[in-house]
Amino acid sequence: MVSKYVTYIVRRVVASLIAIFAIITINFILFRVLPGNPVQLLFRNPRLTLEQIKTLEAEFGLDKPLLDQFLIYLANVARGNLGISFFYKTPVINVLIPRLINSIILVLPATITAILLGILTGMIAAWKRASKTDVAILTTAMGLYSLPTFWLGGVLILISIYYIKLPISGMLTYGVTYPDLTSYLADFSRHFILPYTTLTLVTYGEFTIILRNTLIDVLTEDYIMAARAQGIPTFRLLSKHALRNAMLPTASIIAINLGLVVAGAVLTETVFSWPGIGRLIYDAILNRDYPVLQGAFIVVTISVVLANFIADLIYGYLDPRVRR
Amino acid sequence: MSKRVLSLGSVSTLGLVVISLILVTSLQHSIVVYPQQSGATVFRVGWGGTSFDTFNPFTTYAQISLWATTDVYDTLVRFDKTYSTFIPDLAESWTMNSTTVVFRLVSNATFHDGVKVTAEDVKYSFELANQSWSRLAPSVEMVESIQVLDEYTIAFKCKSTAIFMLTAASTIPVVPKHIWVNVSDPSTYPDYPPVGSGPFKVTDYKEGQYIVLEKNPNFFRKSWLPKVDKVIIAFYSDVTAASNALRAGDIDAVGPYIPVAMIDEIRSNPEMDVIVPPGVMYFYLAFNVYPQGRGNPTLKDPVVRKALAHAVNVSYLADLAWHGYAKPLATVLPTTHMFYNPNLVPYEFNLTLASKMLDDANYTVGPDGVRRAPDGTQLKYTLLVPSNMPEAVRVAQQIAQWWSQIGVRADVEAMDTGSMAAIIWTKDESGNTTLGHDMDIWDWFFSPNDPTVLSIFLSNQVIMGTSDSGYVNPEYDAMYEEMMRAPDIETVKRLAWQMQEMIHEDLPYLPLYEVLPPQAYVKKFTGFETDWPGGPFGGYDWTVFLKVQPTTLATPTTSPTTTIQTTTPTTTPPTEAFPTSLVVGVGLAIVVIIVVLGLIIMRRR
Amino acid sequence: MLEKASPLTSLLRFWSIYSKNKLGVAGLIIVVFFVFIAVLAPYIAVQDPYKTDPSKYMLPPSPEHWFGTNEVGQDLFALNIYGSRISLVVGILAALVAVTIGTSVGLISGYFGGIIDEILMRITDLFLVIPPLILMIVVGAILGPSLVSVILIIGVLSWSPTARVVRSMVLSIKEWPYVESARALGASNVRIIFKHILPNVMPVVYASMALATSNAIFSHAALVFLGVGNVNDISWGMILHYAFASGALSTGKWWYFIPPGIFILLLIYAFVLVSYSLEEVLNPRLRRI
Repeated sequence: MVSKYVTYIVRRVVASLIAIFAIITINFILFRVLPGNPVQLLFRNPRLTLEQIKTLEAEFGLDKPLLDQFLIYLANVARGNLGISFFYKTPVINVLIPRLINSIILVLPATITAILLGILTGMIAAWKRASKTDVAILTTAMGLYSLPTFWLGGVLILISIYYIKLPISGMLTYGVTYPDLTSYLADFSRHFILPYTTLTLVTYGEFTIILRNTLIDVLTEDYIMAARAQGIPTFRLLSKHALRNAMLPTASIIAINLGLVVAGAVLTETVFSWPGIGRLIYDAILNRDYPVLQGAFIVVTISVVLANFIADLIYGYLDPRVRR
Repeated sequence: MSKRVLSLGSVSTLGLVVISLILVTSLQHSIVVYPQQSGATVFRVGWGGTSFDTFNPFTTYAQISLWATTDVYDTLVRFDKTYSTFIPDLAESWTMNSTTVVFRLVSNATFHDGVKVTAEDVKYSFELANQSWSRLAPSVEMVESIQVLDEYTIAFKCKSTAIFMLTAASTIPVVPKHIWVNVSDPSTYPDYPPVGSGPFKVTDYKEGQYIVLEKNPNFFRKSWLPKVDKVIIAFYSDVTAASNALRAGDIDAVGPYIPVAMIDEIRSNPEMDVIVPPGVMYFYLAFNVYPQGRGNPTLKDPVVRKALAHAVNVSYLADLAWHGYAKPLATVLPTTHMFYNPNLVPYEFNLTLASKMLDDANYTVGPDGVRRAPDGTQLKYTLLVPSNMPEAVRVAQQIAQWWSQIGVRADVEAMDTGSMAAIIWTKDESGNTTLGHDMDIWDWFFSPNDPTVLSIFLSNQVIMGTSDSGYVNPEYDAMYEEMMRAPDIETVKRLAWQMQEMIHEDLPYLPLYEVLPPQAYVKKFTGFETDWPGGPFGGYDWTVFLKVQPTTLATPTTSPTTTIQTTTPTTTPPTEAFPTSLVVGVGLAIVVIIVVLGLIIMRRR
Repeated sequence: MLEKASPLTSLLRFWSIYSKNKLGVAGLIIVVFFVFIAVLAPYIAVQDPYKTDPSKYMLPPSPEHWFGTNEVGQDLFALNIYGSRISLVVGILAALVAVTIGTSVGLISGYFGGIIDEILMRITDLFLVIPPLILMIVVGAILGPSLVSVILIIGVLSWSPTARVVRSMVLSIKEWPYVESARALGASNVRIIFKHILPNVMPVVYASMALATSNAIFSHAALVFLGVGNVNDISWGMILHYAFASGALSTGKWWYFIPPGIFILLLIYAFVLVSYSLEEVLNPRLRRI
């Protein structure tokens, strides 16, 4: 008799694989549907002959019928070959990996900080429901959620230019030799602090609101009322019982958001010139650099699907209705 | 207190502690050493233009890539800032007759790996350049044959006249045959690190971040040896970001230009200076006049085009878009170009005259305020503008405003250049390329001594995907052929001027203004040519890195954001930018995740 | 459980609950305020927002130009006032598209269940997985920069949350006794959906609509800021786009950059407040604020 949990896992695995395949297909089609031919765009040169253009198109494989291009592409992906970037003329992986890592370095700490702060303040807000503290936390969280990312970044830049004098672009100061690790980390931190703050503030609001609402939902369940009638203090109720149940949906959301970390943060990276994958995707779209776009999307979608899958696993494990 | 709260609390505290640590270290002044201290001078220039793509000189299309390798590779000859005098580089002398040029190479040039540079390398480089995938192919198209006469002598026979051979020779980098011949596919060869014979070599490169060039002490021409030890080219997402880095003291110069909004402020900074060099780029408005084109047919009427030209005030636009850092233009070449015809003047801005011209040609104003031709076609157009050039969008909007006053309606559509190109060069029912738009605003930039710039108006250029006006004029074509076979420069110039007059009269393009690129640098450095066309930091000047030197070689300067450490100098740069920060950032994150999830799972017990 | 009542009574009853929610009322006031500004823009903004003047390059606020001027000499106050129009219109219309699609999908998926549900939910998840902003940029490049295409893009890529929420609501409504009895009496599916389920789902739809509007306003501003949307129409995102591109930000010309962001923030915040309050009205356990 196969356990229900195993069936659950298998279904999730199949669903994830289908999702990945569907996304890869959609990506391919979408980018091919984009108007504009990268050859034309890059080679806007009065002196290329028709022959040269045709040769270049063949080089990039743009002359074959779409289906052939797609099949070739699938085969390559399976082999781990993401192709050569039209714009950088080097393998896509070499372009993707450094930018991806730069994005992770920025977005992961920000997301985690936002999650932690969100859990903390969400708990406080739910505990002190309907009090002034609750209202304050709630309205602040909603306000931060409403902040346009790029505007906040710009405001921080304005403040920094005139008051704090922190670096406002890039990841490190260029071409400087660092005598030791401390100064390297210090320089990195100074570049890191503004975009990190921007991202954290903007992400924090959502978590607070979700956790607060989920907690309140749980707190008004009958069994909680019963426990309270038994005289168990509210705080213990909150932390021992309510939080545990509230963590279920929250954990899923956390996992999904961590998966989205990989997508980089286009807006923040643009405003702060942070060399991440979000900015890379945006540039690649303008350059019609299909291989880079496709490679980036594969990476992003696989990680998000993976994160969802893990979230489902955890959820399934924790939720007794699935386990038994 | 319950265990749960304790653990959650400790996790949160841990997280907050780490964050505070980061905050604390960041607010403290950073301890960075500028290599000046160790006796090495470094010049750092920030680039905010189109991104770097590859080191491979045959496949790159980015100006910055060309600039980065311009002193890493040598060419046979170079040019000075007038672009009309040629300077010996690898070729120490040359002789020319009507169809042939013979170059004598220097005998002591070596590649960075020590191998001597010979005529075989030159021949090989030109042959590589001639491959169909190479962007340099059009430049060597004029060459009929190349003959190696001896180890240091090489002869080029041209298909027709040889007067453009020197220009061509100045664009082909000489690459080491012994390395490239072993490359399986030169068209995808990343060419890092690029091995050339030039006064600089590339010693470091971080994709999307920077390139480090270091002086090559073995360079054969001692008078060209760089005066700084290192040049760092840092990439920024745009000129605004680069300019901010300049203000923060991260870099010493900004290219290809600084935003107009920052000029006053940088000028008022006593440590910096702003220069306004002559430009190599101009903006124009193209009308779709292609006979088989799909645009609004009223544009094929020269009277309409002339009337529209009279309804555009190019001086006002130059001021509007660039706050004075642009000059109105009357012809399709910038003033720095060797063929520039100074006798042409812009069409007079006169709305009344424009209206009258349209009235006289029977374009009557309809009930909705828009004029229409006798056959009913309205003077209603879509004006395409690249969205990544906000000044151009402003210009388009202003032009539309003027035109609405004479009964012409232009709908401005800003989009990325890829989409624009797709609309402009489209296919008709039989699959032939044709022009599908009404009009567009775009820019061109040209090397000042490029003789082929006027080829964009040849009849066959629509198919090529370069002509966005679709100008078809056999007379013009004939004149162009004649020019390319001209026996001397004077004839070339005469014909070029005539061709510009033709364009001025027929108006396939309405030239708007040429852009002067203001550039900024710190006064700590000097020595470069401030009036090089395109500017010393525009990406065209091959002498800038050779000539730049510290203004005083005395004390290293202190900027408010750094302190200088007097410990023994170290020259071991962190080779990888990410391992340490990766360990710190991601490792911490993973630890936290594991702890939190572990706690969740444990609580189930 | 809501029984059938006349629309007016429902509205009044709704209002009596909603108005107790101070935050919700505040949000509503802000929304009304901006609608007021948008409608009366020509009277509020004295200057012509389109008129250029190169001699007035990035001037700071003055009695003549309350918010100063931009890099082509246009009056920023007028631009900001007129900007409210597009920002509101696109936000609301895009949200409408998103919610319409989402509600339809949620209804069908929740009501019919089975394989249809599986497929539709998988598709919904797909849309949740792809980073929306990136997809909007890409599709924006395909469809071009017109107003209609921007509304469609944002709308079509934002329906997933609504679909999920409506679906779970439908799932529970399906089990209600009076719905079951309607089915037992032989009512057709269409009748059940439109007469019994849909009216009871509407409150959730309204809350969803408010939230979708706030997201749409943000998405539009972000797209235009990146230069992908239509930089031609006056909107707050467009002003920020030029503020960044012209270097006003880095030269401390704060009057160019600050006001549009504040307006976007306020409008989004208003819709978030409204959406939150609507949720509270629906979920009594969240009340008491």
